[in-house]
Amino acid sequence: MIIKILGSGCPNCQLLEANAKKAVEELGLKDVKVEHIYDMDKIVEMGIAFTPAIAFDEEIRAAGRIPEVEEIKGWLQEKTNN
Amino acid sequence: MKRLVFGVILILLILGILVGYEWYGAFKKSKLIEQGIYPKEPFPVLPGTPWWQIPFLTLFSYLEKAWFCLGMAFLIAGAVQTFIPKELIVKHLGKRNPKAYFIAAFGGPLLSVCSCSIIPLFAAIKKRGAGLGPAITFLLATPAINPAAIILTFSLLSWKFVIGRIVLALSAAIITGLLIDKIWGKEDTKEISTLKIDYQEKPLNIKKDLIEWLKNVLDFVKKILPLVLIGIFIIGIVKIFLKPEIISRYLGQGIWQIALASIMGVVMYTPTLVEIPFVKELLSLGMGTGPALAFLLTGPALSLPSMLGVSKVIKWKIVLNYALIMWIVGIIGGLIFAWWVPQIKLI
Repeated sequence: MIIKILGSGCPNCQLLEANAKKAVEELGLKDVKVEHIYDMDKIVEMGIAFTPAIAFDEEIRAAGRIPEVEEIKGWLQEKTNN
Repeated sequence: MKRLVFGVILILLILGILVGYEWYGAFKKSKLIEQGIYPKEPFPVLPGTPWWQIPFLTLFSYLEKAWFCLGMAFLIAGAVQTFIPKELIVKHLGKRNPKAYFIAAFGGPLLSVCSCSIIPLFAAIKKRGAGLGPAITFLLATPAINPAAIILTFSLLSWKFVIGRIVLALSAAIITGLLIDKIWGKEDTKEISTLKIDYQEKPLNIKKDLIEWLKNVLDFVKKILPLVLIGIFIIGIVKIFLKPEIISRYLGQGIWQIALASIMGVVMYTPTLVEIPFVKELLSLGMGTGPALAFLLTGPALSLPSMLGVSKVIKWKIVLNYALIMWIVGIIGGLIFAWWVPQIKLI
């Protein structure tokens, strides 16, 4: 699975990327990659209006806010348990 | 809905306190100044003041005048951020109809998004929502009349500038959006699709929401206050070199002066809120009211960084075109304001 961070590279997006990386690291998930997408066309393509946004593959989890590490961890656990 | 209502009541309450304080305070202060109990200017710049003290005195003077209002402005900006659901506004920007222009103009300022998230939102409205025209309107209206700027304008300049700024900035944004859509709109009608926005109403949880509010306020303070302080300090430095003769010749009342002031607004990058003390200083040095308002109209709306960002989403030609239209509309706005308020007395 790929965690996509969508944002133009502003401080908020960087913070979200750091949170996501930390969540992955703390759970020790090796097969999960974090990818930051800066391209505006791709962001709009996905139907996102508010940045920063976080998506698991194509599925948007949050937009326009910065989820905490714990929240991202919760989503990851829920994903890997299924 | 409860959460929104709670937020609106909170915002109105702070606004009420602020307006009451400003009105009563100004009244009391002018009496005390008359009686000579209170100095007119606690940090005066006199002919004998050493030049290096001027920036510091300017900074202190503004802090003394504006600390209360600035604080309230941050509280309100935080409340707007916390309690006004952005999704609700943007959802109405999803369809192509004339109403979208008004929602873009009036709703944009309520979104109080930071400059780096304006561009994605602009792209989303243009490509998947209401189209190019409303997207331009949104882009121009949002920075021009954010709640904090309106409050500071009221406190430092006058309520006439507040009315002028709101009415003229909104009309300028709508007119520019409509014209751009007329000229370029046909090109991009092919990719109509809808914006996916899930709006889930959050229940009201007073304790949690108040904490979130304060967190957002702190965020704004951390992001904006340093820039405001540095900006005012730089105004103090600029003041050392400015002479009233120059200001009244190039920025006094008149159409060429208005045109010059609005270009100045585009070229000079003033961080948000700093444009207000800057205009106040220039007004006291002899700037006309028309050029002052023209500067306030075009300056925030057309900054070079924002135009650079937008050019990633739309063609340079369209960017230059909307800047040109906004400039002309800004000049007309300046003329209207100069006719309505030929002169202004500042406290």
